[in-house]
Formats: sequence, C-alpha cells, structure tokens
Amino acid sequence: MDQSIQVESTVNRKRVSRPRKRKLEVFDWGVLAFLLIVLLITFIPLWYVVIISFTPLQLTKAGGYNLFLPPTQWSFEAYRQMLSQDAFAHAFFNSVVLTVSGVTVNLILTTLTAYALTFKGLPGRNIFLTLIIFTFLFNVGLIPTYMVVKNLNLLDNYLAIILPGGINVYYLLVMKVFFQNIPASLRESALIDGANELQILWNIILPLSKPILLAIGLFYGVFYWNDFFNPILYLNSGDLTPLPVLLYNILNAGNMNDYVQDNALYTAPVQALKMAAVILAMLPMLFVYPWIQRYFTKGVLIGSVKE
Amino acid sequence: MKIATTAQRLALWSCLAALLLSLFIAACSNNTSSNGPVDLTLWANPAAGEVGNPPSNWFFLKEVKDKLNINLHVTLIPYGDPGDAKFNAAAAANNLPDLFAPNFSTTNSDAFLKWVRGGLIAPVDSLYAMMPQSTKARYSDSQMQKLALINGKHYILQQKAGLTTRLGLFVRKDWLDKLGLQPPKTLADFLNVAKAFTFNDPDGDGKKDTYGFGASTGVGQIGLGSSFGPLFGAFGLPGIWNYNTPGKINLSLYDPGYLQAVEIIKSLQDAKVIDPAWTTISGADMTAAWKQQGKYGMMVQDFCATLCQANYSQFDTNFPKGEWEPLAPPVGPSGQSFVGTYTNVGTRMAVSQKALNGGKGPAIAKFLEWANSGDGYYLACFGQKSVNYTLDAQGNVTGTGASVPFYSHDAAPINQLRALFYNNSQAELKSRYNDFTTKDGRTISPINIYNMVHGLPWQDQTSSFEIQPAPNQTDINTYVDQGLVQFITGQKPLTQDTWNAFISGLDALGVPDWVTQTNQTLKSEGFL
Repeated sequence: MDQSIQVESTVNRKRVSRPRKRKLEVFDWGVLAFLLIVLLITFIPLWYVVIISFTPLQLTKAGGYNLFLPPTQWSFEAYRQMLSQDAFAHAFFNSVVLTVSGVTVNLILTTLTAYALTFKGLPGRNIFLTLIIFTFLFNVGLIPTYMVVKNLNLLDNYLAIILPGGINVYYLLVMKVFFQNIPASLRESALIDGANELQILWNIILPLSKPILLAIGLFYGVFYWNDFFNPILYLNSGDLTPLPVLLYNILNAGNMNDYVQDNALYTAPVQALKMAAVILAMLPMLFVYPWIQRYFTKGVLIGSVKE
Repeated sequence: MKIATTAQRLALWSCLAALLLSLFIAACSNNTSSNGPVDLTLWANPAAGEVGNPPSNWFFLKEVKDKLNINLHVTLIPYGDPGDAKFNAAAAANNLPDLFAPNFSTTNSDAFLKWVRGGLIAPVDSLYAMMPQSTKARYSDSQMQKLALINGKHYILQQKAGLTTRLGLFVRKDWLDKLGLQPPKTLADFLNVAKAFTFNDPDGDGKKDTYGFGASTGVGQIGLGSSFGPLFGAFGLPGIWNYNTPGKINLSLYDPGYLQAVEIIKSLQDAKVIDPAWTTISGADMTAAWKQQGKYGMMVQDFCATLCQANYSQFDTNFPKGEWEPLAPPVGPSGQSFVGTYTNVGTRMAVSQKALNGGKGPAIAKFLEWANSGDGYYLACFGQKSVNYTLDAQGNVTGTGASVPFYSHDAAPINQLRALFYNNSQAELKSRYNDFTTKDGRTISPINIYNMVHGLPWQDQTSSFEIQPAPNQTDINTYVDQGLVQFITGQKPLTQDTWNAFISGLDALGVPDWVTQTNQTLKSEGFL
C-alpha cells in the first residue's frame, strides 16, 4: 500500500510536471485556417507544375492537365527526353561551375570586406562605408556596366558575371553586423596568444560564423543558379551557356519551334517538356537548402567565452 | 592557440596571389592574334534554341577555318527582350559583332535605324562586287534593295523571303465529312459550319467539348492579329494597314468595313462558337487545344505548325482519323476575300562599321559567298554528307540513307544557322518539308499544303516593314485591343455611335499624325 501511494505520488508529480495542453481558441483556428490557405496558394502551382511534367501525351487529349493525376498514370517521358539531351547536361554542368566559383569568390570578397569594416579604428572606414552604401543606393544601369566589363576584356568569361556583383552590399552589411556581435574578448585573447588578424579570422571568426556564411552563400548560390540575363549579356560562346539560358529557350520554344520544319521536342506534350525542364533546374537548390537549413538553427558561441 | 606555421602562411599568400593572377589572366584571355586566320564574329538567332548550342568541335567552324582561313565565332542570340538587350548593350559599347542578323522584336524595330545614324553599321555596297554569286542570287531583288536603302546607301544584305504566306485557314475535313457539310464559302456559311462544329458533336464522343473556331489575339500590334485575318479579309482589310487606296495608306480601323468585320466576330462570340479563351489564351495553350485536345474545327495556323511531320505527330497520336486541310477564306458581301497579309522581307544581315574599318570586308564577303552556295551551303543548312544528308538521283538533298538525318532530333544542334543560308528553291523546300505518312496511312506533303495556301488570295504589304512605330505605340495598341475585346465580348455595346466614339479616341493618341508621317515616309522611300 505504501508503494502504491509512492507510485501515485510519483505519478502525480509526473502529471503535475507535464505542461497542460492549451485549448485552441477561435483566434488560433483562424490563424490555422489562414496559414492553410497560404500553404495551398503556395503549394498548388508548384504541384501543378509537377503534374504537368508527368502527364503523358495520351491523357492530354481528355481535357488538358489534371491536378489529381494518380501516380500510376505518370509518365517520365518528358524527363527522359530532357535528360537525354547533351545540351541539358552541358548547361547543367556550366551552371554548377558558375555557381560554385561565383559563391566562392563572392564569399571571400564579402567576408574580407565585412571583417575589415568591423574595426572602428580602420583608417578611412567612414569613407569606405559611404562609398559602399552609395553603390547600394544608386545603380549606373546596364550600359555603363557592360562598357566597364568590355573594357576590362572580361566578355565571354564567367568573371564577367561574377566580378561586377562580387560584393552584394546588403549581404556585406549583414555580415558586418554579425561579425560585430562576436565578443571582442575572443579576438583579444587570440591577439595575446600571438595570432595575427588573418589567423583570428580563419581560426576564430569564421568557425563561429557558419550560419551567416551558409545563409549568404545560399543567397549568392540561388542568384547564380537562376541568373539568365547576365549570361546572355556577357557570354558569347555556346560552350559556356548555363542552364537558365537553355531553360529560357525551352520555355519559349512552344512559341517558336512550331514554325520550323523539324520540331526537336515532340515525344511528350510540349508543356510537359517545359515543366520537366523547370523541375530539373529547381532540384539542386531544393536539395541544398535543407542541408544548409540545419546550420541556421544551431546555436552560436557555444562554450566560447564565459564572462 | 595554435600559431600558424610558415607553411600555412605561405599557403594563404599563394591562394591570394592565385586569385589576383586569375583575374589578370582572365583580363588578357580574349586578345586576338594579329597573325593567322581572320577572326569573324557572327551573331544570329538559333533555328531551334531549345536544343542548345552546336558542339564545341562543330565541323562547320573547322571547315570555315580550313577552307577560308577564318576563325568564325558564332553566338546564338535568344529571341525576345534579352536578345535585344544584348544587341543594344553591344551597340552602346561599340562592340557590335562583325556580321549579324538583326531580328528585333516589335518594340525595338527602330533600334537598327539609330545604329545606322550613329555610324555603327557599315554600308554593304562595297561587298556586292566581292560576292557576285550571292549578290545575283540573293541580294539583287529591287524591292529588297529599296528596303535596304537608307540615305542613298544599302545598310542591309536583304534577301527575299522564301515562304511568305505561311499562315493558312484550316478546317477539320473529317468533321465536315461526318456532319455532311461542305467547306464554307461565305461569311454566313462560315458561321453555320462553326455552329455545327460546336453543337453537333463532330468528334462523336458525346460531349460538348468542341468549338467551331479557335483563335488567339496578337500581341505587340494593333488589332486582333492574324487569327482573325480571313474575317477582316472578307471586307478587304486583312491587315493593320489599309492599302486599298492607290498612293495612300491608312489604318484599317478607319474603314467602315472594319466595323462590319467586328460585328461578324461578335456574332461568333454571341453564338458561342468561338473558344471564349481567345482573349487571353497563349500560343502554347492554343496549340495544346487543337493538337492535344482536338477542340477546334477551324483555325488560322502556320502550315508547318499544323502539318509538318514532327509537329503533326502529337495530333496524329491523339486523333489518327483527324484531318486538317486548307480552307479558302470566306467571301465578304462585296466579293472580297483574303487569308491575310504578307511581306517579302526575308533574311537580313548587317555588317558593323568596326568590322569594315578593321579590313574584314573581304573575309565577310568570302564567308557569305561560301555559305550561300556550294559546300558551305550544305554544311550550314543540312550538315555533313552521308552523315546528315545524301543526294538523290536528281541531286536533291534527302535524309534517306543518312545515319543522322538533318531533320532528326539529334541533328538539330548542328544546323542552327540554317535559316541564314537557305535558298528556298523548290527542291530545297521539298527536302526541308518532307512528305510523311500518318497513322491511318494518308500521305501529307507539307510543301504542297503551303503551295495551296500560297495560291489563295493574299495582300502584299511589304512596304509596311518600313513603317516606324509611333512614340506611344504601346498605348495605341492597348487602347485598340482593349476596345475591340470589349466590343466583341459585350462588355461595351457595339453601335455606330459607340464605334465612332472609339475611333475618335484615336485622335487623342496622335494616331492621325502617325498615319500622316507614315505616308510621308513611304512616299519618300518610293513605296507609294
């Protein structure tokens, strides 16, 4: 009997320690309903794109594309045709090269500049900041930028796309603020140990800055992956054509290639081919983002300084 | 704290040095050699942009280098605004390519004139003598020479178009046969056949899922576009411009017949025999509607988009008994009929002043002479002999016996420049638009279909190519297109008074001044 009382006490203590479930109010239901609507508005167009890409040619006869096409009727013909094109694989590779090199260069330049600007004692710091923010507010436009790139002999080179946008001022300022929030005592202790600034940056600041580096790296990566206008503008050689340019041509093909005698894409519905191209172009970013997202939620400065 | 070693420090500085060196190398990487082959840059739209660029070891470039001692650098420019932006940026930086095919969207049609006035484009008169064969075969048409003339000099190598009347009015012959109907001859016939196609289940599936007429509106121009050309043609007004008065042109809108044509279209709308999506449907969706869903009984469409083998295959798969045939345009109350309008303007090539100043004129002429005829013509338009084409007993090009026929999917990347160098002879057209057999055993000859369409009434409006857009062209287009759609769909009542008010609205947009200026321009250039 004593044991049962003890157990009951234990049970009661456990019951007391569990948080009570909050009853959902009408407001909560309203918020849920609103978020559900937003989810549907966001998800349905994406789902429609996926469905179109899997719709076989025969089914388009019945009435076009059906949002509720069962997976048993899905056709991979559009994907097969898209992936069998050498041009698609080549453009995909070019996009990977451009994105990786662009992100690398941009992160190096942005990080070095942001770190330097965290030092209030930097000679001319205010002038540098003013000039940098000036470029943030005022854009010279397409023609002067093209002329500068051309005069630097950078045309038909990936550097023509990477260097003009080498530092995004907004990301620079975000990174600068992040570096400023790292306790100065970390740097001071490293200086006492005899480290120079580059060593401090490499060994202390950057390891603590993984979330911001990955976030800004992702933003740069998405920019380069999706950029089609700058490659069209600055690249002349077909060997360098990245995926967005090919995708642009594919998406416009429905208006163009019906007028040529040999339509190169005809074993799947034209819309399915276009949507398959869109999905294939999206996939790398969809795979990368969840991998990076876990770094956003990790804590910063864990066990670094106890003050 | 681990102190960096000398090796680590060295590694870090090496990386920085490599980064700086790569920038330097990149900056110096595009210098052309002053010895050896002549470097020529050629910019043009691709024949089929969706299949990508030619391979890096493209045989065409190798042949140009071996036979002509020219390093040809080809850039395929996408259609649309991005391509125009590339041209505009290059022009602003005086970096136009040596040779290019200006093919601007409507909004940029005056860009080329600005470049001529800015001294960026070279007169091509000096090139004619250097390429006698090409000049005789392609650049000597008097009408085309007139188009290329600006201030007394020719600034364009202007060819005459081979296929000028591509759009045709087509009807589902199988539906006519099933319903026991004759092809419509008059506007009244047209409406009756459209009603039968809409309400009498011509496809026999028991559903009301067909329309008598399918159309889409044109974009970037005044009026409803070529889909409705035959209906306006029944009143002698098949195009934007009214050429019916000798020595003078006017907007077709101002003619009383235009209102009558709009009333005819409204009657189609009111009878619900036209797909109501016509006001907003895109070209791709309209293609899906007739090709994959078989919704339309009559439509205006490109002959190749309808009946070339690759384009027809989807329709053939879904509707093996389906049959499209050209239809003569309906005859109007005054006995007039036109399918639409056409121009003779074909391929255009321009040379930059920078190229001529650099002494590249002879190289350009040599390249064009080679590519327009002989080996270069076959390489550019069809590919390699025995690989991509063979010659039949009459010496005509065919894909029979070729390992990768020129019209196949795999060959598409290697003849992306074909549109620049086609000569449009009957033999070539027969090769390009090959006959084929449908799933139910019928033989379709696209080029015969084209010849049938070409033999129907058309109106030559070649000189309209010279008409410059109004400064507020977009506003005019929007005003007219919106007004017409509102009248036809019933959003606005269509009476003589409301129509007169609509036409009066054009005055506020400066249209009369634009028409006056247009007449002056065409008169001064000898087209009126």
